[in-house]
Amino acid sequence: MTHLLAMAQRLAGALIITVLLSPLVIADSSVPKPEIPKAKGDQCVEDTDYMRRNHMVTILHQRDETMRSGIRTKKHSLKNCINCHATKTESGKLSVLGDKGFCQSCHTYASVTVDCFSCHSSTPEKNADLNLKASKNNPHQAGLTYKRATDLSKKDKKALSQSVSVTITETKNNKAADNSRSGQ
Amino acid sequence: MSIGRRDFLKAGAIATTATALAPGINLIELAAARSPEQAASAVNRWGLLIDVNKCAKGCTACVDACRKENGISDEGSPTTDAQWIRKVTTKDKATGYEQAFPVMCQHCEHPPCVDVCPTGASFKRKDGIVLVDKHICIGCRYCMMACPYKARSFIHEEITDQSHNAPRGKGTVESCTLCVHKIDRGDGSTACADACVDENHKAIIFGDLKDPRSEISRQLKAQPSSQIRADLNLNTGVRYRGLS
Amino acid sequence: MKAIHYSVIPGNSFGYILLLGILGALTTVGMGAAYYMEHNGHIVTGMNNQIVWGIPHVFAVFLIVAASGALNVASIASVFGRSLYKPLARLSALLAIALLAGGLAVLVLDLGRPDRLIVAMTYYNFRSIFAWNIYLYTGFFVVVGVYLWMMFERRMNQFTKIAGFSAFIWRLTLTTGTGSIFGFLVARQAYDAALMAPMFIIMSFAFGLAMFLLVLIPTYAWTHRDLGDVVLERLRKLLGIFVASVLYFVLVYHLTNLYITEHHGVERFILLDGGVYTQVFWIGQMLIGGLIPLLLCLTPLGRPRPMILLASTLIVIGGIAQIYVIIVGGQAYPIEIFPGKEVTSSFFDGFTTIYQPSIPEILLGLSGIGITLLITTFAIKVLPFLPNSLADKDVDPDFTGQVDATSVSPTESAAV
Repeated sequence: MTHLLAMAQRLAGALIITVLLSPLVIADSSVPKPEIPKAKGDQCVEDTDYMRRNHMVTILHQRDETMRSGIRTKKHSLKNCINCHATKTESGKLSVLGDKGFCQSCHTYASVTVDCFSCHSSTPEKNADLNLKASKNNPHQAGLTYKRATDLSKKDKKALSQSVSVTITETKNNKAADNSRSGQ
Repeated sequence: MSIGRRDFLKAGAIATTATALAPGINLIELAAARSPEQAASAVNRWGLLIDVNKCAKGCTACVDACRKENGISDEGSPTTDAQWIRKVTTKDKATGYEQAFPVMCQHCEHPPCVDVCPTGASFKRKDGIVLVDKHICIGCRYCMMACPYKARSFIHEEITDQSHNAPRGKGTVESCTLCVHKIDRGDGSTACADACVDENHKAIIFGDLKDPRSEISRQLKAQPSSQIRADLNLNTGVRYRGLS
Repeated sequence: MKAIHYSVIPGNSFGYILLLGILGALTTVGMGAAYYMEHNGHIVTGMNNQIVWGIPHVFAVFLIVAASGALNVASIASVFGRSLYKPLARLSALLAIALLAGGLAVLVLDLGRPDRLIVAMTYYNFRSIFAWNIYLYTGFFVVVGVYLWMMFERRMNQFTKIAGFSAFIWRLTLTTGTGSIFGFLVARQAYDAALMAPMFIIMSFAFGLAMFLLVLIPTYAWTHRDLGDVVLERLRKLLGIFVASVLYFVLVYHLTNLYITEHHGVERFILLDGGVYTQVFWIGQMLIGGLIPLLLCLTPLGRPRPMILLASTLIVIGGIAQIYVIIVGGQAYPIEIFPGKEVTSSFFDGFTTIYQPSIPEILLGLSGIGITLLITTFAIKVLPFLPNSLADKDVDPDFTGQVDATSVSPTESAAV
């Protein structure tokens, strides 16, 4: 019995010491927070808080729009990110990569691999005009408040059904036009 | 619904009316450049017409222009380096008649590469351009097995200094994009076609196969043309004139 | 017939540990090779823009095809009710799973972006035979797994037949899918033939049974368990019939092509002047993988066990040669983009490519066999896959007390 008690005491002691020392331990071993370099322009295309958490969603959405449908609005495009956020690296080149680069510094800190730049250029375009404000006619400006089908208003649903019917007639006519034009 | 979407639908509806009218009486120019927020649509089908007789022997202006435009680097390994467009020389086995002309992705209406791709990375855009979505390409190379035109290349090693026009990287498959970035920008031509004009050969015409008023459609209608491996019935977007 | 008793092997001998070590090393080296290939890109392999599928695919396809065939023995027992093969069913199903795992590992590790395997699992294009195969392969694990469970669990034994039947149908579909990877390719002269699917099925019978015998005989010898001649003799003859069937399909395939003028070029290439591919075809596929095993399997010459092992080994080598000719030979022959023309270009149009596989890709391919045998070796230690005895008196329902290896029972010839 005394043996068990002694063990419990020792355990409790160890626990207390650990809890007391933990801030020290964490402070000692912590990775320094990245210094996020300042970008060109006054503000980002979205709130900084939003971008910190959701930039990958925004980029992913734009990626599929551009790749699949050829929609090339600037606001959420990767090129636009890079044009603003590229900074001089040690070699003197403008890039979002490099130890202190905008993308890499934070991704290293968060230990998340960036898969963009094995294919995409990490440097800004030569004649980049910074596009911070979205154009008026951009449906993807609403990218942050996408509606689910169930959330659609009656008006929206009607518009949607109309768009479907328009698409169908369009296809039909196109087929007919195809046949008459290319003779296939 | 944002204004953009509505505008787009309106444009679609107008296009519909326009195409529904008799050929030749178009109220609006269909091939007008899209705005950046407008999706590519089946109103267009982009293609090329290559006049073999106008293609000059030994000239590789189109190939060079393509490499420059899309940042296709020479890694010093001919068997593995990518080639989006190449000059092919054919010699008739019976008669010895020789021809030389460029071959690239033929942008088929029914592309075998799209059929076989397990992830859907190989796809055809609504306006007929066949592309590889390198974001979801797993590098299985089945499309390269399936393509009858040997149009595709696999990237065998790490690539740096890519062009802004064409992101490309190790472990994925790629091919001619018909200069999709130029089309989306509204340039109305491809790098190869531009280069051929610069050389004053004018052997490559780029245009909209669905627009009867386009140069390419009028030329195709006026004179005979052919498709490579027409027997496969793939309805290619790249057509040839004078191919023996 | 007596009840069959299964047991795990002790698995504590020096030989067993050594075997595990060798297979583990083979697997590890293969994984290292895959990492090397992934890190540097496919530039470090012999594959290029002309030969896009190489040695890894040859091994992967061989193992996947053999996986489906290894299940054959179990199918004969469960589906066709031959009780002589029943004791072998568990090992047969195990080997099927292990072979598929080995083959798939190689296939996946050769991808340009193996890190995107999750993409292959989440994005599907249902027109793609590859996409169907992803379902067929994963489904195979499930179906054969359930089948094994029915066999292992006494209360479930009554469902063995239905589970075995499902597995049988599934693996026929699976091999049809594998053959169709090539059969549905219109672009290349050597493929584009509906015959590919049934030919792959019959190839799977031969390759799978050969692999099965190569595992069965040494396992029983090394664990000092009895293995009767009757069952081996039947399997040997069955193997002979499978090899003959493969030869028949190869004959029909080439005769068809020889009749059709359009295919004369590729036929001339494979059969006459394709250099290494012609040699691999005649020496590897036809002689080593066809005629010699045929002789060993159908004449008394091959009755001794070393001869059965030899025949099985030759069938495996010949099988790999056959798939090499199909996959690599089929690509080495230039695509006919312009029929009737001699074609030249900077992109090797009209040029016969010589493929020189590099060491890493060969190691990756071989590791597929390593993985297969590693799984099998480990599994028989932890679960009772092996019958205590396969002696004639224990397994042969027609056992009369005499060992007469040449007799084939009427029921058996019907099964064949």
